[in-house]
Amino acid sequence: MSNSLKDDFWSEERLVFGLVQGQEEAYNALVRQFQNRLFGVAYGITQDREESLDIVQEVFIKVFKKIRYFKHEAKLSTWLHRITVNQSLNIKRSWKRRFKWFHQTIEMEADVHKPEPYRLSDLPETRYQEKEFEREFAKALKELSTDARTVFVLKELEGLSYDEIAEVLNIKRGTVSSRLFFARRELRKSLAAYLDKEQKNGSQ
Amino acid sequence: MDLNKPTATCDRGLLNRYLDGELEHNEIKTIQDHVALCEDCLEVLKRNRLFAGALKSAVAREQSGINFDALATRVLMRRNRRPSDWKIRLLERVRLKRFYIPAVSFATAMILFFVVYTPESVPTSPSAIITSFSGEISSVTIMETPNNRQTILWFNEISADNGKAHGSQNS
Repeated sequence: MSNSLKDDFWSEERLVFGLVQGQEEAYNALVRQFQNRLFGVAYGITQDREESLDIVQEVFIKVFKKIRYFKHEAKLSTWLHRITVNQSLNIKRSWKRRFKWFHQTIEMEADVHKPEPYRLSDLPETRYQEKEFEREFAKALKELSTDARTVFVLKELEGLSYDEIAEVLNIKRGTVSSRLFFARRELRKSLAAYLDKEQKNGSQ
Repeated sequence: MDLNKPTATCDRGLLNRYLDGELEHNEIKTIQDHVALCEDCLEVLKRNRLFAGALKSAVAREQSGINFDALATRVLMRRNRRPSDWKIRLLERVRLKRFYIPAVSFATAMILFFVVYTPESVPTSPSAIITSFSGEISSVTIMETPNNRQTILWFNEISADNGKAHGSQNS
């Protein structure tokens, strides 16, 4: 696969046309253009890296199979988002996965695959605070209901409008707004103690 | 300071839609004027923006650790070695848990059923030969079956001229 193909950006129309025609380059372009984003959505919802990688693969396989039935009134990205969200929500969690979700082990905290491994001793205080906030935030995000987290991810990560989210999830626009409102309120509640403390320290 | 309870003049719904760029022009002005004066709403707005940033950086961190080239190659290879449609359907059917969990349960139920339920075997031969005697012309055998204690008399006559046997049965 050449670099020029990798960097080549395909418009949605061109992609859909190429996919329906069965063009090899169109399939390559689709995967290269969307895998990162779809992984992000899946990860945002499931909070599990391995699960998200599986989801992305399944989404593309589904798309390859169903591209013939793609309705042109919807955007390709909306369709991809919908499949990704459904796949993320439908994934049956095995007991092992549930266990992993609720019981983060020490090894997982140290997470080998994450770049920039850090030790508390050789980091400035601000960096440590950032890491601490990241951990608190991840915990709060997991505590959100799946519905609220899904809407939050589609809004904040993908920057979709209320109408686009409503189309992806097949819900009303008002429901999108209220779920987002709820998600943010819950996050504020969960992180209130931490943020209030930080605010107090900052004002001193 | 409780940032989750809006006061009478604070409209957190409006603030939310402002953050999402879902307000009309005149509403934007209203909320901006309000936020300029309301510390609570400003703090809510700041925190909501902080959450958006935190989500983006958490996801970006995960993304940076993934070899997307390898993922793309895997996905495209799976497409290329795709068998014909009927094979895919068959493979999917086999892979699907919702197919083989009921299938395995059904098989187990059937095995259990046949292990527990074994129909009583019908005796094909008499359980006991009580007495038997034979002579030159005929022989009589008295037998007993276990169910209804039938006594069967078997006459075995051998004719003098051709030596053929004739049998009869009584119950």
